[in-house]
Amino acid sequence: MNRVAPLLAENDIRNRIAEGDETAFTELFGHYYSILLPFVSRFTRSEADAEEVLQETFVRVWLSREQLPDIDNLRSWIYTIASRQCLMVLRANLNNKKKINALYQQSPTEQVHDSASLAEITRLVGEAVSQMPSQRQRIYRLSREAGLKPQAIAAELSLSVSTVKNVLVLALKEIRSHLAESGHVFPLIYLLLHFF
Amino acid sequence: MWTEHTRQLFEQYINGQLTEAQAEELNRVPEEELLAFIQAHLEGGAAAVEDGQVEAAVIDPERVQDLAEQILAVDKRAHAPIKKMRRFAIGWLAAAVLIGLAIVFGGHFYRHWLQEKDLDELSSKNQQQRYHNDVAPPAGSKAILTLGNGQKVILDSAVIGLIKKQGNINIIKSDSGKLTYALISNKTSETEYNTLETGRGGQTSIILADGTKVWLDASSSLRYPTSFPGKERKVEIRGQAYFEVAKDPSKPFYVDVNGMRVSVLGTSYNIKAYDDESTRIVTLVAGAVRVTMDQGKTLEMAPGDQVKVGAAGEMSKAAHADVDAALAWKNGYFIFNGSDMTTLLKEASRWYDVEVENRKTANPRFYGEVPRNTPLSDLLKAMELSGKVKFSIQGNKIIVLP
Repeated sequence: MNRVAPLLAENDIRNRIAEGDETAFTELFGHYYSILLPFVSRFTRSEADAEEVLQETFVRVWLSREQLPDIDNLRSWIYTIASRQCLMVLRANLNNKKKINALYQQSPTEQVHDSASLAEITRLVGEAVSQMPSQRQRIYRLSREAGLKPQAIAAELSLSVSTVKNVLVLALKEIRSHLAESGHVFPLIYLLLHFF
Repeated sequence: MWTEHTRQLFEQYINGQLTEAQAEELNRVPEEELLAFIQAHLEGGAAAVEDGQVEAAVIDPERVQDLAEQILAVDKRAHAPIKKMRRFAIGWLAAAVLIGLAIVFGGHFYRHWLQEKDLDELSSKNQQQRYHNDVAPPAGSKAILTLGNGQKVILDSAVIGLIKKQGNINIIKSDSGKLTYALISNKTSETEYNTLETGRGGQTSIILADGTKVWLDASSSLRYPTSFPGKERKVEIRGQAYFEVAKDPSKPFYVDVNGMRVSVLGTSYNIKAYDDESTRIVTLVAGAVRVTMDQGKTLEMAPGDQVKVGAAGEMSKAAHADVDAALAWKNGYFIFNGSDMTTLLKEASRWYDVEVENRKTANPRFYGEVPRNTPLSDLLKAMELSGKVKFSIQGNKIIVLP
């Protein structure tokens, strides 16, 4: 029997992802990939499309990383995004069924629904980053391209750690809103409220 | 929740046994219902794997690593150093202005350049050479909401959630972009008229205060009151819209469009009445409506009926109309069911926001279906497959070759 290992210390993983830890993200992605792939495949009717749905889902998780520690129910948020992405493929398949019957003589395997989407997201993120004010851009790049932790960036630029963290939060917000303007939806997140 | 029928359709789909008719049916199930079904099954499935009731998929860790790296790469592109980027950005801006001018002049020159022999030469070229560029399908609703006080809200960039409170009405934007007018209390407050309009290549939908749902096609507008306290419900449209009118026999629902009135008690129907098309078309899906012209002429419609009104107000009614074709825009495709080329290209120009230069005298008819979320070239290629026509794409212009 092939069983999945439970995702231990999910809170710890969330905190690490929020700090930009790629290994922690890969671990989270791998966990959900293994439990969701068979069920997503049912709706996409192809494993390649299912992989894409999961990538599209987790690119949204990654670009919302600073919010992960506070998300009320991370699991159902992930399922909400995955369902939306499944629905898009489902719709494409349903419309495709019509298309094949039309004068359009294209074999179904030639049909690509939006596999360019991740590439487009990459392009839009690049656009958003290049439009940021220079200091914000520099901090964001030190974090993503040089892989520096907020503490290291703070030391490098003689800023406080909290300033760096705030700037990174702003940068991600800016990226998300730029993506949303181009129709890449981020479903609403329910955040935990801290009363103290 | 979802209906038993929806569950059965999904089962057929998952087993690969869905018929074309069922595919259409499934496509028409409300989005919330489809999402609820999918989400419940993802959650249920994943929980069963985690509990060990169902075997997990065999995963290749290298594959997972690959896929994860692709995700992580989205915001890790190698960018040019910051200083260089800046200079680059300025250079780019200058270039953008020049390109803009070049296009403007280019567009004017073309009319003189494209002589008959050029067109003949173009005709002999293959598709790839004729299609100088492609035009992507539009994204976003391109919708603008104008409030009673004249304030305009661009919906694509408006926040999701509460957009505005007007009297006892909350205007809410859902994350799918749909607008809802929700009544907060039964207290009567002043009713204002709002206008929702879409640009070329836009589509949007709205739920009015009485629960009536309206879908707006590209280049269309809907003017409606924020609530319906009176004895009748009255809205106005331009362009194309599909209505699912909430039943309320005590308050008839009127749609006024360009000298024509459609009256209903609760029903679903499509109205197409673009200013640049002389025929106004009403297609009834369910229920009963009456079409009345300003001059007093009236026709009653039953489901499946289609009424066409010409430029001079002449009316004709056909039974068993092609409802699918009339609603194709709302369901996300172009359907040509013997439609003539000029009408099809008008639709394409509204959707892709392109101009059409027609150098062909014949106006052939086409049969077939093409999704709307594909690039313009896909639509033109499909039409070319008929062998009746050849196109060239040049910038934002489609040229129909003679």
